[in-house]
Amino acid sequence: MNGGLLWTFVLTGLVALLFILPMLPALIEYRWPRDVTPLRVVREHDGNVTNFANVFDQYIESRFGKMLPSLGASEICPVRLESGASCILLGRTAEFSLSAAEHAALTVKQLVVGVDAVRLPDNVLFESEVFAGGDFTGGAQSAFRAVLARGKAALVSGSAVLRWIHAGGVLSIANDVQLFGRASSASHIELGIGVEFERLHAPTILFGIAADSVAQSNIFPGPICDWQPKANGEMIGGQWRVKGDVALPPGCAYAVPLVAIGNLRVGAASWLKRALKSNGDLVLGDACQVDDAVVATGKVEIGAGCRIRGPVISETEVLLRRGSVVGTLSNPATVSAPRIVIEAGVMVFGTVWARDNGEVRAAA
Amino acid sequence: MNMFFWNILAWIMIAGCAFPVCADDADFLAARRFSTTLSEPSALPSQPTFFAEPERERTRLQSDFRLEPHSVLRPRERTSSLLAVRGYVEPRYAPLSPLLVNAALYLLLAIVTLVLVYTLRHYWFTIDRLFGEQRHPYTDIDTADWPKVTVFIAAHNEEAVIANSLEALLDIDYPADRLEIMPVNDRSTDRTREIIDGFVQRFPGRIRPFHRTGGKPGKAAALKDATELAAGDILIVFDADYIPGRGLVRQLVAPFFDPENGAVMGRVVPLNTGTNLLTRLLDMERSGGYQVDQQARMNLRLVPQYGGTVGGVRRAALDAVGGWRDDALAEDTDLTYRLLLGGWKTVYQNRSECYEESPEDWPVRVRQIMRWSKGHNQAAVRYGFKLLKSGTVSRREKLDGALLLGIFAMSPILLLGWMMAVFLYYFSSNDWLIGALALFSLMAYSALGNFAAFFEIGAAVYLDGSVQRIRLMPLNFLGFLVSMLSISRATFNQIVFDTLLKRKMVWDKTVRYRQAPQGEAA
Repeated sequence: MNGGLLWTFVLTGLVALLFILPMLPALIEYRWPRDVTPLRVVREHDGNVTNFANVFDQYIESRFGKMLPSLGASEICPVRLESGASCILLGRTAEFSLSAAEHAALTVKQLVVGVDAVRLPDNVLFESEVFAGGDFTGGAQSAFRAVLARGKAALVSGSAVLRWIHAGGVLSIANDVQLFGRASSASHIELGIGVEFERLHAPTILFGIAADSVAQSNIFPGPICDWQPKANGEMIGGQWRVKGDVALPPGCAYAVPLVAIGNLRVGAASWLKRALKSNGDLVLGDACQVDDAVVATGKVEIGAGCRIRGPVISETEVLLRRGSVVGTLSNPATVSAPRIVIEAGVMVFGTVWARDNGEVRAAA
Repeated sequence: MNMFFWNILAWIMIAGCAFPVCADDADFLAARRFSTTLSEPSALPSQPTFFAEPERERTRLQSDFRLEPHSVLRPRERTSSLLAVRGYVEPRYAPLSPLLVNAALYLLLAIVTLVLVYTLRHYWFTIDRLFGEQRHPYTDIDTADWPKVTVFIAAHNEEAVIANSLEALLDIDYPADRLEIMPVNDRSTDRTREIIDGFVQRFPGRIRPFHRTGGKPGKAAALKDATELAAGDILIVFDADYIPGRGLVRQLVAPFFDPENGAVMGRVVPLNTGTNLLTRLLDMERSGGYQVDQQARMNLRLVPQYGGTVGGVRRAALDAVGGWRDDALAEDTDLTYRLLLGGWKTVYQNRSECYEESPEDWPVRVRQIMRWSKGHNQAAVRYGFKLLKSGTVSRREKLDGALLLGIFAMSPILLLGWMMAVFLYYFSSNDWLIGALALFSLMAYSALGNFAAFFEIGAAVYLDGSVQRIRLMPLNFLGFLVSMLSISRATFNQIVFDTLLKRKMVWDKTVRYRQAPQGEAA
């Protein structure tokens, strides 16, 4: 083979290599697949807010279901879990106390499982889950990763929950508690002033008030208004679509869904039988009643003493003023926005979901 | 055939335009070759000088070698009033007239511009999806007074898959008194009817079957008939090979609490990903289409598309825009645009995911994409002009809607652009074309070879957390090439045979690969 031919082969080989080299990862993945499973779609996922709590409850039942009834009333039993983590079981009347190391670090790493009521100390971080077969009371300035109480649960002022808390009974949240993640109750939730939250769910959620002090204001709707947009409005599919800002006069009843391309302001004491949508900010005057959804791309402000039966949705912020009620016991609803500010005296039946943060504030 | 090939091709074309191999310099090269036989090689200028000062060089060559006035080696200098280009040269014996060349150049420029627009669109969507604010305004609605819903399962000879779909729907988390499950058995000749009736007997009161034995063929026609019997305010549609999750119907219904929304679309996830190369490529393509493209359009308040399955429509909106059109080849695209023109929004719910079965054979894939292409083009012709002159649609929706309508037309246009670029490259060119060719090459490379569409798919796969399959990306060009040729073929057939020769369009059902369970009806 002469030199010219050799160099031709070498050059051809190098060029071929140059082409193939960037293709190698693709060809290897094609020939020896490592990632061929379908994207995971959890069929069982139903968006249930209590999902974590249910799964944890099932775990407790399966792991300690037989052990807990046999525990002595004042017995405290340390257990090593299969994962290597440690757990402490508390008898019916046993009180949780910190070890010396935990006291020094002000941190409890072990899972705490109480047969009945569990009361935990102040100023401690609980890095693992806490289970109470009865009621649960958290200490002041303490932080909990997750809490499940089959009875009532109470968080005192200055404490925080990092992931979720669920109570079978009433969930009482004192002033200035921080709730990251989910807080739910099978009964109702009471939140104090200054509480920060993300996702709340219960048949009844009371903000800054106790359950027995909710004022049941009555709505007295005025006459059905023969309201029509002055200009830039058209009826599409049984809805009013109005370009620009819209202001509805107070004291009337409206029977048709309304979509405003701009801002929407509803006068006080109005009764809207169908849904409202604003492509800007939406302001509902005091003592209004909406029997359907309230939706806005901008800020939603619900006036004092309003009644909303459907979901309240905003892409920026929702402000619920004192005395307003969302949903009913038989027809729960959702309040959803990146930021939600709720004044004391508000009641929501269902879910409040602040994607970024929510806050309970004293009534203005 | 891969992106590396296109990388090389692009650079060859760019280099080809930057170095003296273009036709407009052929005369000079010939002159140079001619001159080397007559004079000392050292007398010739070096190549950079030749390019740096073409005018002086041309004058010098002409004076040195004293070419005959009508010599083929002597180029003509022209000034184009059309292109506002001065001083470019053209071959003396150009086979095409200047007018034709100019027209072709303008057409090529238009194609280059279109490719550029779509490339930028891909970039815009991907960057928005990666770094922009994500809109999921309705996914958090989990407690509400849910409206009455009818769930259609479109079925034509679906004995292999209908049972799975019905089982999944019977397990759905939705108030049973507000859920109507209606399998739409459209003239099936296999065991589909038997299987459905078996379920009706096993679950009395839960399923309301609709067995269609005649009438116009096609999904839209079947849905049109079924809708007359449906009791729901919201109509949710699944194809028979889809297996909805427990919370899916609630997620799809949630956006309808917003009175402005006319339709909703969920995300389709291929189930048979690992079957072969085609299913793996389609999995990535679907991922790009939904995870990035649809969600970006949702984020940017553009025109998310109702996809005909894993989606739903508000009954009042459907009635307001005239119901299902049984003459539509792609009833989903058709409905998307009618709703848009009617002032209704379509919402995309990225977290409302549902498995589907994607094609496992290339011929099936080709037929599928040809059908989509024809349907899309039909919608483009029907609604393109109406969209642009609409007074209810916003400007950004018009722009995105028009681009979405034209997306299947881009394949034959791109193919035409490639052919024209090569044709003009050899038959006529000038300084302006050099730039156009280079730009076109770059755009073609960027749009198909690597960055834009691939960037979109890559970002989607990354967002899905599928770390390894992203390596298959270069092979996706194979899928794009097949799609481009299939769509071009479909467009040609549509224009020549379907439109000009009035050939009747035929509904082509996608093949299912799951095996029918025996004795399912029992």
